[in-house]
Amino acid sequence: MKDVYILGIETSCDETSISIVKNGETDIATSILTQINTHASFGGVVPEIASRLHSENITLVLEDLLNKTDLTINDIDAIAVTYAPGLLGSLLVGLEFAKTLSLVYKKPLIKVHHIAGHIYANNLEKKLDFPLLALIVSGGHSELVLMKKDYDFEVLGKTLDDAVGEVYDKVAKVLDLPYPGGPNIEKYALKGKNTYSLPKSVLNDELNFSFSGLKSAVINLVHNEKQKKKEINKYNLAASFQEVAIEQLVRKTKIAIMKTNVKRLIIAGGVSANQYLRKEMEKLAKEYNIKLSVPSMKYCTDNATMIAAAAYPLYLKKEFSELNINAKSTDKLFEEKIN
Amino acid sequence: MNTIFISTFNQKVIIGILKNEILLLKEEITSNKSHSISLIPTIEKVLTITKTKLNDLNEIIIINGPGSFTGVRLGVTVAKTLSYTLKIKIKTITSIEAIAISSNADKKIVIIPDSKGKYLGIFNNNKLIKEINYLNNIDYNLLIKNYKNYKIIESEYLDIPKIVLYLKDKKSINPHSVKPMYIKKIEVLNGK
Repeated sequence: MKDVYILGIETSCDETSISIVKNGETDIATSILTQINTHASFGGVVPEIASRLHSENITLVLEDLLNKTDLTINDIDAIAVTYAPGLLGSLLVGLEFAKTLSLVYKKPLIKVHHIAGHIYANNLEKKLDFPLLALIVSGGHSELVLMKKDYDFEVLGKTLDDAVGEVYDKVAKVLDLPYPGGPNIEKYALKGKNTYSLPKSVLNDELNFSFSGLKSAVINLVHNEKQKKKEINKYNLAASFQEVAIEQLVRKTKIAIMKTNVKRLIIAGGVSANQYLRKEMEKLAKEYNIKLSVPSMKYCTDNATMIAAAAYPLYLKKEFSELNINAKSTDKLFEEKIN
Repeated sequence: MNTIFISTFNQKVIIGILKNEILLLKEEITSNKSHSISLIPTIEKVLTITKTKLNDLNEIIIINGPGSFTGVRLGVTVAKTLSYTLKIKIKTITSIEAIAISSNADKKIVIIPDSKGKYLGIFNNNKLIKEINYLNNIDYNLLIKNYKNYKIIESEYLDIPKIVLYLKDKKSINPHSVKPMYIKKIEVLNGK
């Protein structure tokens, strides 16, 4: 079969990224421009500034990408772009850019869900092997999903309140850790010990997650200690929080493994970069003789490589989009059929 | 000389195709929702109707604001991407100046309102006498008292051939450096 080259575009948050991927699994060239330093001075991503920078930089990012490869856009088979979910203004810049390329080079347009991108980031490491269990963990997602084939998602469990990445960011804020909060919690936790007693979620709901109780416990603890004029050991609190949060992810994944008897497990989403989560999942995989696949660190944060990879199965199915599609700040990747 | 004209700064998407400064076709879509739905399809449509191939285009003219932040940004993104990929000239003009050129009055104040105030430019014989500015409605009402003999232009009408002719001798710019003109500061930057 002829090789398929897909140009992916990702602008859903604060990274402007364009990439070319061969057959959904080989990263030919990738360019990423991060705005993280700009947003850090505001303590978080400012949507209007993010949109402005995407628009200012996107043709420069394309030029940088094309300088990294002998391929031209004429050699590309399709243009893939993140259409949802994310910051609407930012998504729109990438989407209009993608449509313009599609128009100029007469290439089909493929719209990709950002979370599908995180799942298919695993394909860049090792080809997805079905059936598999996917633990999706990011700032907007905490889900356990059973995939029997490409783009077939059966939600086994999801968070009933906050996403795990969201809680990481909120705890970082309470502890006055700099932006980005999640990765900084992990750094602090490395230097600390689990000394604070925080509540484990005791949901009867077997495969669903809940993180709001843990979040509230941390917030209350910090407030109480402040009122008592006691100093918080940020390192120990970060370690205590992380241990309880990850324990829940591991415990629910374990139940899902036992229930489904599936022998392959992948982790996807921004939180999959968390080393403690990776270590705990490796232990679990070993215990149950499961093949574990995690995206390499460079594909854990937002990037266009994973978008081009996720577009490949859609390209094979000829799931192309018209040039009048719109971006969406929220959109479901899958229908929720909770057992 | 084939020119494509793109305007997206207000609730309208306007695309014009000109041959040697003569307007062949103008398509105007009023969208209450996102320009994203209509922008590229409208460009495609005017090219098809006028039998103009993308590779036949020599020049792009884009109104780079001020106006709707998102609207301007989408137009600018599409225009600079067309210019960069097709390797053709791109020229920008502000919405305020484009409206001023389209009106015959000698002394005029061109305004583009939004929910809290107005973008405005004050003109003598199509020359801006002050930088384009954004004023809240109270400051605006105070200001116009000093310009009693000036005509207020609020129609946002664009005479495309006149605008293209006006830009004829103006230099084109590098597509990478084409930026929207927002004028108005966003709230988070106030005090920075």
